[in-house]
Amino acid sequence: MAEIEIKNLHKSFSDFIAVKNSNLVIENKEFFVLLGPSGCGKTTTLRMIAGLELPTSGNIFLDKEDVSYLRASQRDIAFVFQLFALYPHLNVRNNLAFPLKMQGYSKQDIDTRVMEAAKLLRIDHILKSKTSGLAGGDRQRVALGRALVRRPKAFLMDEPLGTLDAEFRELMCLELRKLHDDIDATTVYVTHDQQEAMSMADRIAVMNEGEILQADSPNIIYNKPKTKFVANFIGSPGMNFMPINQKISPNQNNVSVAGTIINIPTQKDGSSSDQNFLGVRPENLKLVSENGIKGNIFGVEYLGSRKILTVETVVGNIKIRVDSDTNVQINEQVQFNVLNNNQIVFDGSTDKALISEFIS
Amino acid sequence: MATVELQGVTKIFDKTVKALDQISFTVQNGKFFVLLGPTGAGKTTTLRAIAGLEKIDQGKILFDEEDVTTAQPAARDTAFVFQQYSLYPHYKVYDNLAFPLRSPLRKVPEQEINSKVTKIAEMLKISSKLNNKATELSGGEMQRVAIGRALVREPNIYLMDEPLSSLDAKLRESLRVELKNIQLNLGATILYVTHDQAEATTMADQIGVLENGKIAQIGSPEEIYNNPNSIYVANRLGSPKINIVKNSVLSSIVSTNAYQLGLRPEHIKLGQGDLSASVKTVEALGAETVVELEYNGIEMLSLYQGSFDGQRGDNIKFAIDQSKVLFFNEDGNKMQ
Repeated sequence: MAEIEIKNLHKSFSDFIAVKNSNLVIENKEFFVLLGPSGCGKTTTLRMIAGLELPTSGNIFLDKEDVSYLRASQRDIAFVFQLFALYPHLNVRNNLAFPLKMQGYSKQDIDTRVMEAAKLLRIDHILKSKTSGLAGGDRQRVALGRALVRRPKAFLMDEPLGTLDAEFRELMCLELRKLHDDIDATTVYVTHDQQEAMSMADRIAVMNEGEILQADSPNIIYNKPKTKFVANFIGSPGMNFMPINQKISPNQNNVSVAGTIINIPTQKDGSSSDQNFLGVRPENLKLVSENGIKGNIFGVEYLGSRKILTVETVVGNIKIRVDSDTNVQINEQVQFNVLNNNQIVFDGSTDKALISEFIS
Repeated sequence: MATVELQGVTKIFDKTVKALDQISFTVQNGKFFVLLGPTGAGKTTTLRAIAGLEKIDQGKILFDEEDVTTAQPAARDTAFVFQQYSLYPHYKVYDNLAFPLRSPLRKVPEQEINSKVTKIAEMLKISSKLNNKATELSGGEMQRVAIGRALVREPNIYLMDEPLSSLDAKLRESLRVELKNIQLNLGATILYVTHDQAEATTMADQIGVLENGKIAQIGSPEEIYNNPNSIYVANRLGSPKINIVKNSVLSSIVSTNAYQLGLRPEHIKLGQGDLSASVKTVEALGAETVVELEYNGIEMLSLYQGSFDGQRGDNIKFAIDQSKVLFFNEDGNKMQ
């Protein structure tokens, strides 16, 4: 049971500001992901929660208790690192038992807890194996198990799947999420991989340059990003941006993109700039036979259940997601338009989403 | 460029380990062929055998029907692109690209070199970097130069060994679109090996799936995805993975004597039909949602288009697109 709150948390290393006055409440039992490119401050934030790094200013509360300046060992929190920090000369059982032995638990308690963790992670059949001979996934499970045996209030994980190949990572994401659901602990998870974040999180905080840009559920982060950075960072492929060379006024419900009129959700506020961007997700565009934006097919990517088209236009390369039986070829001329009213206009001077009937 | 054919190619290491076991396939002139397989399946060995860097123990290698099995690497005229960009660090980008053309064997005039380098640099979007030293480039730019250095020549075949695997996800996505576009417009013959299924399905005209040194199946991406001839192949393509379940699990829906059934996640339609399951996990991926169901005591993944409005523990109706179910026998091979 743990609620984690950070208040005006700030960390600088001489002139470099790693984390800028951040505020967050991570709720009890929540799977919370800190997501961003390298150098955005996500790992520093996590290390401050763990007590491995002290804040320059601001506070961290664990269940309302101020733990900002407590040592790591005094916080009831377990940290799982990216690299498999296992003892190669010990077998799986002893690797799992190690943190408990250090804390002076009785042999009986240790046995119970090791078995419990091993069963949960489905490694109870390899307890006697040396860790050096294990496959990547099993090694990762042992590393998780070592955090699990302590039954901590919260798990902090720093890119624990970073070194696994794609097929395996997908499987481990599913397992980690299930594990989280089974043990009822709070999890704070750091990654630069948006797909990992989307697939596991209850909520995601997207960070860039030390700032938390948005903290919301995966669906809201994906469909209603508040800044251009978030819109581009999330999604594979990311959101399309088409330049609009006009000022946006309140109540406006269409814009001209490269001479084509495109419907947009009715705008509530106007833009401050006269150079703005229309943001559209690839699945919210469709091929049309007339009155669309014209372009030339540059790429057709077949991905089994879908295809991603890349269309070269005067407003740049635009990605469109279509059914996998759509038949188009590279170099073909096509037209496209919006499929629904889920577009977002980003202000060209602030990169922020403008308020409309779709996004508030 | 040439049509490259392998006939029963076998390579044995240390007298016992069959790295390649009776490999046969044809890369047609002007086509993009991808060999897909995990580490150790024999992908790189196949490329090296074609380049002449590895002597084969059995079989034949033909370039435009001419037997080159015993020919020296130089006589085969292939161009290799490696996973790790091996550029000359002290050379400018321009000179790195021009290097293969300046070989004394080729005697290409400087004017022609200039026009080829300029054209390829433009295609790969590195024109503005031609005067930079190779060490002043980002990882993505270096790999563009490495690919460009192969493309300035017109060899019999381009052999590419996971050239995008060391790049980050967004860069990999944009380069694979560009590489396919360039290949198509140049009419280049490419044999490309990878363990990444998305690279295979997005670029290939034909995919050869490798399994322990053997070819498990050859076909277009659509053929291999929709009509895999074994469970092994079915598992290699598709994200999320295909569901493989025992016949008995779906006995109320599909009547068959097949031992196991394969069901792609997108063919389980949520919120319709009269079957009922409970939701185990929900992964919102943005454009789609992966929902794990528990049905008849087993777990199955389904793929829902858009945002899914439900959570763990919910009961949900679903239907199965019966025409898309795949049938496998006890050995994991497809049944007709």
